[in-house]
Amino acid sequence: MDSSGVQSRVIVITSGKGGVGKTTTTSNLSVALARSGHRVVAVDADIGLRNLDVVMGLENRVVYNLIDVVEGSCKLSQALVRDKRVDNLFLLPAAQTRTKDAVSSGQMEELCSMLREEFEYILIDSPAGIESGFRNAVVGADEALVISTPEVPSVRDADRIIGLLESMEKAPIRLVVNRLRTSMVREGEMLDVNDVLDILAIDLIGVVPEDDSVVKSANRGEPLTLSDSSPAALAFQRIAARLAGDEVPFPKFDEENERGLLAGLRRLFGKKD
Amino acid sequence: MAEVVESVENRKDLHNGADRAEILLKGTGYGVRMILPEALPDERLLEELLRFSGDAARLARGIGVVLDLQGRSLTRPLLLALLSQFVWTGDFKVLSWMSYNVDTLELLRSSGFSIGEPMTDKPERSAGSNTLVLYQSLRSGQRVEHDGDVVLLGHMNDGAEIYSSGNVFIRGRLKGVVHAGMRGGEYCISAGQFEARQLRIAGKLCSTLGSDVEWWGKAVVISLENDSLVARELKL
Repeated sequence: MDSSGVQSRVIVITSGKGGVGKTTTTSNLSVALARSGHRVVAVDADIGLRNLDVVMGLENRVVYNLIDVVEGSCKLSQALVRDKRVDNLFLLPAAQTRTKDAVSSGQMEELCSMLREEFEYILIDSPAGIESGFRNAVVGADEALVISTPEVPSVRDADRIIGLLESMEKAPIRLVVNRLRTSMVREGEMLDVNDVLDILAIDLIGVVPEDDSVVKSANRGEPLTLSDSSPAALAFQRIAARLAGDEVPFPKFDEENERGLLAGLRRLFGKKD
Repeated sequence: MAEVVESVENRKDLHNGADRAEILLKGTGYGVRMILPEALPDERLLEELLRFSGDAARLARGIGVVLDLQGRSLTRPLLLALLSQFVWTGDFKVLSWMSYNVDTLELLRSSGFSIGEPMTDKPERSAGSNTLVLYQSLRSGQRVEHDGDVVLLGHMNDGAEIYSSGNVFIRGRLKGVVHAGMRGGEYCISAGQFEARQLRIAGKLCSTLGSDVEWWGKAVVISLENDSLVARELKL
C-alpha cells in the first residue's frame, strides 16, 4: 500500500527472449498510467545492460542507480529520476557498470517493499533470459505481463517463462502480443493472435501492431504514449487502461491501422507513402 | 504408493540416527543424495543449506543432487525459498526430489519437478508398476521423469520433455519430446493431437516426422512392435 492508502501493484514485464519489446512496453505503459493520474515508477532490472533510461529520454539525469540503493550508498529518493514531462512518473535506473550478480533476490524483495510505500504502480523491466537477472526481477512482483511476438521462438520462450512464473505463484500472468503484422498473418507467414493464445493458454491483455514510430520514439527518448496517436501508442494506452481495471474492447487490426491514419489518407487520395 | 514404501525403507537404511537434525549426504549410483531431516525447522533448514560448501558442495554441483525431503510437509513458499536461495543461487543440478509425504509429492508433481529415484541404466523395478497422472499441461522447459506409465491430462508444449520407462498417454496436443520404454520393451505413446517432430520408444528414434505424415495433427497411437515403430490413427 502506498502512502496515500492505495493498494500498490508490482508488475514485472518479461519475455524470456530478447528484443521482443519489454523495455518499450515498460516505458509506454509507465507513461500511460502516469498520465491517467496514477503514481508510477519504472524500474530497470536489467543490471549491466540498462536501456530504459534511454528509451524514456532520462539518461542525462541519472545520478544514482538501483545497486546504489540496495547497497545503501544513497537513499531511494536520491536514485529516483522524476520525469518532468509527466506528473507522478519516476524511473529507477539500473547500473551499467555492474553485473546481475551485484544484487540478490532478498535485496530486490526489500527494494520492492520500499517502492510500495511510495507508488501505486511499480513496473519492473526484466532482462532477457531465465537466470539470476530474471529471477531477481520477478521475485518481488505480484503479477506479470509476458511479452511475445507472433513468432515460434518467441512463443516457445514465453511458454518457458510462464511455467516459471506459475511455479513462483505470480498471478495474474497476462500476455501482450507485440509487433503483429496482419498482412503477414493473412498470407499465412505469421502466427495469428489466436494461435499464440492456443499455445500459451493465458489471458490476453493487449495486441500491439507493428509500427515504425516505435523505433523513432526509442531513438528520440520520447515514449509514444506521451502524445502520439499512432497505432502502437493507442494499443499501449488500451493495455494501460485494462491494467488499471477498465473494460476496453479489443479492436481488429487491419493494414490501415498498422500503417497509420496518415498513410491511409494518402492512399485514399492516390498518393504514395 | 510403491514409491512411498520404498522411501520409508530407504530412510531407515540410510539414516542411522535419523532423529538427528542435520543434513546428511549419501553417495549413490546417480549422484549425491541430500537428506534434509524433518526434525529441522523450515527456517533452520535454509540456514543449514546456505552453510553447505567446500568439497562436498563442489562434488554435488558436478554430478547432481537428489533432494530428499523425508516426511516434511513442503509449502509453496518453502519450495520457492529452496529454489531461489539454494538451488538457483548455488547452481545445483537437481536430478529429482524425494519424499514420503503425499502432499509434498503432489506439490512437487504439480509444479513439474521430477520425483522419486532418478533413472539409472540398471533396472531396479519392473516398469509399469506405477502410473504418474498429471492434471495439467506441460510447458516449455518442464521435464518429467518417471519409472512407470505417464498420463498427461493436458497439452505437452514444444520444449517440454517426458521420460518414462513405461507407456505415455497425452490427452491433448503433443509437441514436445517423449521417450517411452526407456529401459527397453514394447511400449507405446498416445496423443490426442500429434504434432511432435521426434519420438523415442526404447532404443528406437524417429526424427523425420512432419506435417506430411497423414496422421499429423490427429489422435494417434505409436507403438514399438517387432522392433519397428507402428503408428495407428485413433478413430473413436
